[in-house]
Amino acid sequence: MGYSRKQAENTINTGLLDLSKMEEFLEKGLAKLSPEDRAHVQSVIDSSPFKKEAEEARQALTNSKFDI
Amino acid sequence: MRLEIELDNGEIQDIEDADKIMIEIDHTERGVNSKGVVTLKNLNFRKISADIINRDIANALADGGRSIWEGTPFKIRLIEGSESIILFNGFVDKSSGQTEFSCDLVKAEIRESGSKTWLEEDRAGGFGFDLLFEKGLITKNDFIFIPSEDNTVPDVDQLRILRATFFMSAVEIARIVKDFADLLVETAGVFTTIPALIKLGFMIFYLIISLARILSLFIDMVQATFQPVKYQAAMKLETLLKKGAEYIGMEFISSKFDDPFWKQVVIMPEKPTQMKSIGIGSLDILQFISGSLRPLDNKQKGFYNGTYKALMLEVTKLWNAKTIVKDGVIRMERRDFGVQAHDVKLPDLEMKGQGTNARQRKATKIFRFASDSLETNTVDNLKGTILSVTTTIKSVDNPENVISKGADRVDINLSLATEKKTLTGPQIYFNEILKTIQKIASKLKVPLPDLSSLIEARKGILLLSDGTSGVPKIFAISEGSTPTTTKIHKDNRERLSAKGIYNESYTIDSFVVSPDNPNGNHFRFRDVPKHNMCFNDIKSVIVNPSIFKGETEVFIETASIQATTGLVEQMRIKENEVFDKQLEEILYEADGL
Repeated sequence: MGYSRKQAENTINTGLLDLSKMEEFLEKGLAKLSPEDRAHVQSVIDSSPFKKEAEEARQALTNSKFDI
Repeated sequence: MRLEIELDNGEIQDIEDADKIMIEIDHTERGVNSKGVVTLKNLNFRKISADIINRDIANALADGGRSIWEGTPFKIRLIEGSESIILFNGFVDKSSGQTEFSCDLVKAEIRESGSKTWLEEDRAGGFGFDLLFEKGLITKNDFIFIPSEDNTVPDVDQLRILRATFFMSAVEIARIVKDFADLLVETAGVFTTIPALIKLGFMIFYLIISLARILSLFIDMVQATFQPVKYQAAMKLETLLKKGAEYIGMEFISSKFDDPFWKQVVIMPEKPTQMKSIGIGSLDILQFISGSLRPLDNKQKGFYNGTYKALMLEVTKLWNAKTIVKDGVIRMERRDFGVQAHDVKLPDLEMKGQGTNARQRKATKIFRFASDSLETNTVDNLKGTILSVTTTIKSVDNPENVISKGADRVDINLSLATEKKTLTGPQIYFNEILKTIQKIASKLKVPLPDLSSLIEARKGILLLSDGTSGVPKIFAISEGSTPTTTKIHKDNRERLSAKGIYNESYTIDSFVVSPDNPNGNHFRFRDVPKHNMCFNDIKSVIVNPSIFKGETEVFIETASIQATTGLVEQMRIKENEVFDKQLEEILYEADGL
């Protein structure tokens, strides 16, 4: 099952990336891997410093405050 | 009729020439606020009464004694049979420089207790509203918090930077979109290989970080360039007037406050210091944009920064008012208020004419609210601030013979308020940005309300140039259930403008006759010959100038009546009678153009 440029553009046609769609791709892809491979990919992703930074960024925005 | 004189609540008999005491009535425009008064300047108190006053003075040093600045009570009653009138209810002013003391003679100045003169000369100028706040008579609960927005921020340069930043952010989003699209094509939309999944995982992190940064950047931009709703503490005019009266043990009333508009009029004191909008520290984005803050945490003070007397003076100008002080009540009303006919009749005597009040006409009258160099909306939105009213003769044959002189000014030391009627250009632009912010926020699962409609809700609030002001403002509000929903009253600028004040309060002074005002402010004066007045008539005309000449109601201007005999030695009356129909009125409202 192919995924054309056209379909790719449709995925993002709101002008913004659909984060939940990407997360869905990741989840489905991981499910298709063997348990060993899944654990490996998960460990590489989880050990990335970007993960922590992304979580912190999202958390910071949720609690965003202004000093005025 | 006989006089009874009381000093320090005991009857006395030894005032020099007490039988010559005259009742002087002054209902002229100049003395419009006074009722009949008794002429009692520099009375000579002989032995017994001098002893009472001297003892009172000596007691000022004793514990619980009466201060020099609290007068010794002094009353004069006019008595006939079982009826009496208090002609004079006052005090001996022991603090006056005119007062001379010796052991058996006191030559003292007499003041009327709780009178207009007492209020204006001795009391109202002696305290300000700050004192009432310090004493707890005015509290924070008396403050009304007025939402306001600054309209000088963002300026054009800030808007340019904003647009550039927004463009760069859009480019960054587009780049992430492209990277993801490339990855989708590369993997044919099927992520089953280890490298593709790791790449996808990293890309998700990168996207979150990027979106978070962009969102954070937008929020910073909002903070830097989009003014939050600020709150300015003010007080209702009625509350200020009532609190001031309460402080001096009196009650304030005015029929003006039966009008729902005046009931909602506030005075917002000047704020020369740039406000930190609320002074409560951190706010979330919803509060920031909507202004749904906690203004009562604010440390601002909302009382008028001046004396009670200064405020009364401004109200006098706004309402063309007279002040009546009587029986513990301060009453301010339009000059023509409350003159009700009663059945006192003048005897059928030949009266000499003494001309008209034509000389009182001023060719030009200028009404002006203050402008404020710190609050430039008062200049930019000038219309309504200045009105000039000129009366001219419609048709003139000999211009060199025309008498048309004089200019009166009514300078009101309060500035007008500008209402936010539309969104500014930057706000319209921001509205678009906020829609994008909301999309990004929803991707990151950061809940945000409909920010765009919150900006729209700002219409109708007070507009300030940069949050500071150097002159107190006056305006009417439509008070919301919470401070956030309080707006400027829809009729504010129509009624609280120079023209509005003229129409409401000053047309009664006009010499131009009209169907609504057929006799205009035209009066003929007449002198009434000497005659006698009975006790009941004296009692009436002391407080009410209305009197009948035959079937026609006329008004006493001045009168001088011997208290013990009722002999009217002098009386001048005026009759509202048109004497000229050749004038027309031209109104000009300055608009700054």
